[in-house]
Amino acid sequence: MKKKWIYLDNAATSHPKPKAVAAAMARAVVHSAGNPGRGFHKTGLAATRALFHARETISDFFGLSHPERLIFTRGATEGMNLIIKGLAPPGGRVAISRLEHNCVIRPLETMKKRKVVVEYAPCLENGTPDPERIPEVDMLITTAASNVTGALADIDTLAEAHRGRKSLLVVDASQAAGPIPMPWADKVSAWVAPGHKGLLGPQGIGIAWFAPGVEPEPLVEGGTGSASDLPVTPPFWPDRHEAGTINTPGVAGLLAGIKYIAARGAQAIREHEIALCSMVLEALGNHPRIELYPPHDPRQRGSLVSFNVKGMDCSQVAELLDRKGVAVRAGLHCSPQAHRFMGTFPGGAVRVTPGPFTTKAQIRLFISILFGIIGKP
Amino acid sequence: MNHPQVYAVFENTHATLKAEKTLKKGGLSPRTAMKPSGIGPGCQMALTLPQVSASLAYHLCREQGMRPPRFFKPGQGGHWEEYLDLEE
Repeated sequence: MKKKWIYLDNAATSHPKPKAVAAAMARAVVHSAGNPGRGFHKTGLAATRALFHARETISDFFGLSHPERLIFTRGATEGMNLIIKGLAPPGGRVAISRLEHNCVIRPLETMKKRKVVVEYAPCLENGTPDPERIPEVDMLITTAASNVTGALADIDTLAEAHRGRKSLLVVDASQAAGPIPMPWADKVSAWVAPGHKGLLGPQGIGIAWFAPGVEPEPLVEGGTGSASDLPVTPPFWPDRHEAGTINTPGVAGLLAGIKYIAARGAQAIREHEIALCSMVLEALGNHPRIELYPPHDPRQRGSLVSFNVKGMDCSQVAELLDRKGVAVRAGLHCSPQAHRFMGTFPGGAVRVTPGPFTTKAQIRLFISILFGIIGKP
Repeated sequence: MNHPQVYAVFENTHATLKAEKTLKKGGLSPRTAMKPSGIGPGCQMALTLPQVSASLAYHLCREQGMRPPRFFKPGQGGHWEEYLDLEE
């Protein structure tokens, strides 16, 4: 008999995907297999139209008024590299939240060689930038939702407080895009999101959006199918930041994921995930061996609960859960700074992240299995 | 009756398809086409539409905040001429 698997690692990548995702990718491979923007035979035109349609639809989903400024990337990491390496001025100052992922930390470390000064922004108790104390820097970067603590940044208020400043407000929406509302999407300077997490698309595709007037230097240059007579990358969007062939099956899968979210309702998914996290928080919060980390209000966090079991290494807990068919992620989650903030560096923590397809029965079973491993409260 | 056609040329495929959408909403019937290489380098895709619709197409694009297209028509000796007879 096939063992049932409880997947609680949706912050790493969502699973399962809506069935429409794989179907859309297969259709893209078969029916719009041409190279978008290159060659306008039937299949090339089909790919070009599919890409255009996806860009417009995804822009609509996020309420963006300039679809051409939404670019497709390999993921949030590539988008954040483009932002940091393409916009942080040599010798300039960049402030970050206490919760940033290595997709922010590592490019900034490289930029230090170009005399970029990196500092922490004054933050709230949850580690996100304080809208009332925005620093005078060239760029302020914050996660919208931490992949370690789950804390949500109040980007709307930050964007309002930041308005009129010359500096850039950059958001890593990796753990927010999808179920968590992003009314600020066209109010910040730039943001990035992976396609394969909350947006329910496949791996290898992501998006980055830039406000009008925000003009990064290209990260990758090459053929764009436009202005081919010129030796330089054209200035117009989206071509300027989409050199090389686009991952059209990935775009098709991403679009299908987003359509699923739109049809089911992002708010409905969010409420579902809050209910699941509430179950986890309530059960684990009453166990004397378990240490839970704030924020404790499920509405103040993404679909994520991090914890440790006293007397056990987090990897040991994850391994024992895996043996019982429960997939969680242990360790530093590529966010050592966030773990430092949470007080769990270098040991890390166990992270449980339910998704849109996780059921309450699965959460109950997970809790039962966990208590079977560590003892009942 | 065949109306003389012009090619409307944009900077890239995104602009071309956005214009196609805009012009259709505006009551025109543009068709996507491979741009003749004689017109020059740039985006390989273009829209074709009747020459008499060029001015309207130009204005519809401008109304949408788009960079308006350049129009080309067949000229002498197989060359292409830019069509500039647009009504303000």
